[in-house]
Amino acid sequence: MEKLDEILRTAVDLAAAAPAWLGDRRRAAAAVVEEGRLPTTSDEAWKYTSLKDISDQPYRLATAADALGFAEIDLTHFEHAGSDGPFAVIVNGHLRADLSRLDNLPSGVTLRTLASLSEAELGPLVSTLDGVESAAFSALNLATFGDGLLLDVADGASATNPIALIFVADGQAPLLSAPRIVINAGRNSSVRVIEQYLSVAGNCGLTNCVTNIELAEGACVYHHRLQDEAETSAHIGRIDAKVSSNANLHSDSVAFGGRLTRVDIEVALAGRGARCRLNGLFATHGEQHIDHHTTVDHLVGDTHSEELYRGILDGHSRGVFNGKVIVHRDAQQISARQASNNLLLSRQAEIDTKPELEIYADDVTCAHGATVGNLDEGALFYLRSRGIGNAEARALLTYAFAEQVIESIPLDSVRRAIEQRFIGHTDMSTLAQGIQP
Amino acid sequence: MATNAQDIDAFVDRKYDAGFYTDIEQDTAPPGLNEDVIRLISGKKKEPEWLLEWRLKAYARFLELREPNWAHVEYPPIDFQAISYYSAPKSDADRPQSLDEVDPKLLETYEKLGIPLEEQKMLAGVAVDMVFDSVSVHTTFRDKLAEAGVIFCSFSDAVIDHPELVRKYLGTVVPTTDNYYAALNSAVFSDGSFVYIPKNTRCPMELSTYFRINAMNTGQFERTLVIAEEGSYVSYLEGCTAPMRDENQLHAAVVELVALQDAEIKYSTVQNWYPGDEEGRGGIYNFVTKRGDCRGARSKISWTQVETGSAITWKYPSCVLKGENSVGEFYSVALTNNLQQADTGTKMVHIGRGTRSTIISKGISAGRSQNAYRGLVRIAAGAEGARNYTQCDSLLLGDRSAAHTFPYIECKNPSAQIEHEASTSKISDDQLFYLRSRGIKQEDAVNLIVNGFCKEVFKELPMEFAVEAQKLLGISLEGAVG
Amino acid sequence: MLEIRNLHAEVDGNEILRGINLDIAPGETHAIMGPNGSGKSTLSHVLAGRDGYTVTAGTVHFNGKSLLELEPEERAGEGIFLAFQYPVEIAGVNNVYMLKAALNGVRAYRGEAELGAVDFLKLVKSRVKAVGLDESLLNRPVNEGFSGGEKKRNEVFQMSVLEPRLAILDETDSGLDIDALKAVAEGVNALRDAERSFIVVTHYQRLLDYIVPDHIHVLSKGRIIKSGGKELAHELEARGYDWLTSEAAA
Repeated sequence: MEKLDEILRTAVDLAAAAPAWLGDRRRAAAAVVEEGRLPTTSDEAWKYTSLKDISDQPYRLATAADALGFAEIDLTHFEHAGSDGPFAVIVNGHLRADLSRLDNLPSGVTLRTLASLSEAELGPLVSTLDGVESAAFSALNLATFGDGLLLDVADGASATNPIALIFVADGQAPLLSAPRIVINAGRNSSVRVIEQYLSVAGNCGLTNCVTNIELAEGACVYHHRLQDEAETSAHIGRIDAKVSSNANLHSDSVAFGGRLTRVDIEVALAGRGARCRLNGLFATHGEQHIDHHTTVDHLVGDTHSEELYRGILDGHSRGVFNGKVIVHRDAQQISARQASNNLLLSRQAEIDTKPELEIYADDVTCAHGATVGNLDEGALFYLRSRGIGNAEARALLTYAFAEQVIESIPLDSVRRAIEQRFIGHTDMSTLAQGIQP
Repeated sequence: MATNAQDIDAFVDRKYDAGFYTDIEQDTAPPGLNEDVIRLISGKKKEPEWLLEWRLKAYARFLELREPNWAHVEYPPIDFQAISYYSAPKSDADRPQSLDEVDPKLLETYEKLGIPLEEQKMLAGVAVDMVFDSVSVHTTFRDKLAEAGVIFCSFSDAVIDHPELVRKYLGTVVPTTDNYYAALNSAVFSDGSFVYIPKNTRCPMELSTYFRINAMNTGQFERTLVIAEEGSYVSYLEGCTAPMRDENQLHAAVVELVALQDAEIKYSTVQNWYPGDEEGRGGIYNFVTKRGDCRGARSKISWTQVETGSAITWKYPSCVLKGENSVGEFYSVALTNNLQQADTGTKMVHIGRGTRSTIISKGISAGRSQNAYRGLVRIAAGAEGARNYTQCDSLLLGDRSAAHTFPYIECKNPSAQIEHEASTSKISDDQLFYLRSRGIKQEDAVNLIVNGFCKEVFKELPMEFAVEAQKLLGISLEGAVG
Repeated sequence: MLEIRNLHAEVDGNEILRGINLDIAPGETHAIMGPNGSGKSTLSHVLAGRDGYTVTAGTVHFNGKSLLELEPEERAGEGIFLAFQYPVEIAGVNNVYMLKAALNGVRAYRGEAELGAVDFLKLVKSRVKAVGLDESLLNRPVNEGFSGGEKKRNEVFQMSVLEPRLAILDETDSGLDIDALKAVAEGVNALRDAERSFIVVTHYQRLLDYIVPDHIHVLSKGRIIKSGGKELAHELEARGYDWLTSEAAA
């Protein structure tokens, strides 16, 4: 980033204005960024993703004033099952209460800005915020985030209606916005959260967002992350989740948009009986670049993970998937499965996939698989022999390939977006059901 | 499971049967690495000027490079100035005079492996009159090879006798600038082997038994070059199931293979260098660069390796598939125990149309060892219809051992098909009990299961070595129960 | 030959066997029947020495030797053979090679000389014919890709080569059609003689039409609740287990 130093200076101003607990952390985080700078392709974790494009941009840190220009959100973007549910609109990193609907949050669920929390309420959050400082962008987020939001789910609360958090990157100027979300799911609670990232046409900002999810014992969190920003925007996102015993995290990460997207998802399975399911779908065309890095840490025994990521690469685009599973010493009776399947549709597109296993215990059943290929010729022929045109058959198969990953997302709009993208119209989903590519 | 734990303890307790040591004066250059040392090596070998220049250029590059740190291995910094880069072959007077002077444990291992007496003497470095026998054996081999037009000699001899071939191919597969250790090897390589198979020639024998005897004393910076002309075939085996003695800690070899149109090279390795003791003291650092170029259409290079030795193995025998429809294969068994560390795998670089590759990797980790598979499959944009199949399985014996899998898959061609599968699990309690309930002792049961796990790789080895490799794993497991 | 006294065993802290008493003389065939969960398979596994079962009380003597202190392979050496309900598949390990290792392991235990390859193959050839196992299966990996019937026949074939003194057939009939069942039973019957004993563990009477036992024991909740002659099987077939279990409870 051309003006990184300037941004860090702004961060120091932010720190001075913040309450002491946050100010110290902001300063420390800014120092981490200043010391380590931003990663390059010689860093193993950034081997396939060059930051050159964004490092040349003269980003300026978005302020609360930058959030005011945005007037109205098109609700069709996040229509979902029971679309009368609650939603928060965050523009350039700052909450726009006036555009949000938060009066219908399910009982037991609260959504507040971090700044509004009392010292006592903050206590348990501090370590959460500290945990990710070592990664450059999460440190940058800590140093610069605007309105941090805390979504609290009380013990035993069961919120069936999804809660949508809609992040909008507004404006044409190269703004850096840094949303920060903390989701605290209490014991045996259950909640479904949608995080959707959008940007206005022609936006060339950078969204650098971090979500912390803490699942207490027996909690169940469905987290659907959808990135559909304009193809001029840049997006660097991160989820850090900690799953306690018998808790269950389901994470979907769907990325269609953005010029450059990098998403890191790190899950710590920290208590016996903890489970996670990570699903991902990325579809790229044009000059897009989408990179997902996931890490599942099996810290204790009797923890289980499943992961399915699918990529569809077209045009001159590039997709990256790096999925790491670590089984720590003495973490016995582990199962971990991971699959990375990729469709390469164009001669100019590229996929780089790297599923990794690091195992330090012996009573484990771990497996991963990765495939790269084109559509199954046999299935294509089958469809065509039934009278379906070549292009349509290909579209159907591509759609079906994508659909399998996101079946659990309760958002018709997502399904429609996929249909639109691969089939060109939106009434084929029933036809495509049951076709296995 | 209790029995399993016993087995594993026993496995962990196995001793390296070749841990003997001799203290012998040598004609050795003083420790240190600089241009003068390189000139000394080149001069002692009476090398032509161009080769000295080549070495010096590599050295200059070496000074610019940094030691790689991405492998999943840990070791204290190597002091390259503390190593002596030249030592003359030992005179007969310095060697053991008969097998009686050789560590009986070593002989026991040879016995178990079924190695003939003459070879045992060779392997143990005994200086005796049996050279007569062996000379005649060599002469027979040499005649047979010469008849076929095959050149097979030490690298040093090749530099003198076939300079045009050496100059044409040396460094064309692994450039001097390739990596840190390849640059070091290029600067200071001691000796190695040279193989040239003429057009449309099938090498009349496996270059194995012969080589096994000749492989001694090639030094720690070995250089091998194998050239298979159009339509030729050669099967080459380096190393030996028998543990070889060596006082050098760092080994940085370079192997280059060139397969021209319709040629096939089968390169098999059995590596059983000293792995260090139970506490990880001593042992060889084996940092090897091996690469084959499938330059011609329909050429094929097949690597098979059984890696059981060395304290640290850092090794990725690779294939660059340039020729249309060329084929690369990699079959590997890597077994680590105690505090051994292995980071090994392959690179399959698909450049030509219709190129195919297969990777089968079997890792076995015991004790407190670290065993990593690291492999790259790269499909270039022009590799129309390329195919790769990769399977890597890890077997864990003991809860202090670790197994890792790091596959890199990079694809730029939509018509390519890549399939990668990996699994990690511990040795199966059900299988162990089944075999034991049939009356098979648990150490034998473990041995059977481990050998079964490695079967797909062993069947790629030349027959005699497959048998030896199985025995080798057997011995590892057998020494276990005390 | 086999004397089981007051045998108690548990798995993961749950008591499965609660005082089994059983005597088997040379040449006898005993059937152990009982509803699911009665402890039949546990008894087989405890006798063969599988890990994961804790014997909390009781003794088992085999030809005067205390069996419970022996490792599984030592029990095989003593002449115990367990035909598995679910024979295990072992990738890459040749069936016949495994058997040779087993036979020589058993012989070594008994202080007998190893059988050479030629004699061993002769033995295998004769036995493979006797049990009607497809010869092509001999050189395949142990049980890998075998059909259910082939696996069971392979168990009987192994038994015929190892010539145990006491064979335990653990639900050998499960998953077999009638033809396969008959074939397996024929193989077993061919091995019956005045010295060799069998324990046939089964849920159904069907198998006992083909392998006719001398004694039948009904196992329920870890105890033998009824013993009788071969006619007991037909009674069970006609009346089920309930009358017995309720009788025992009363």
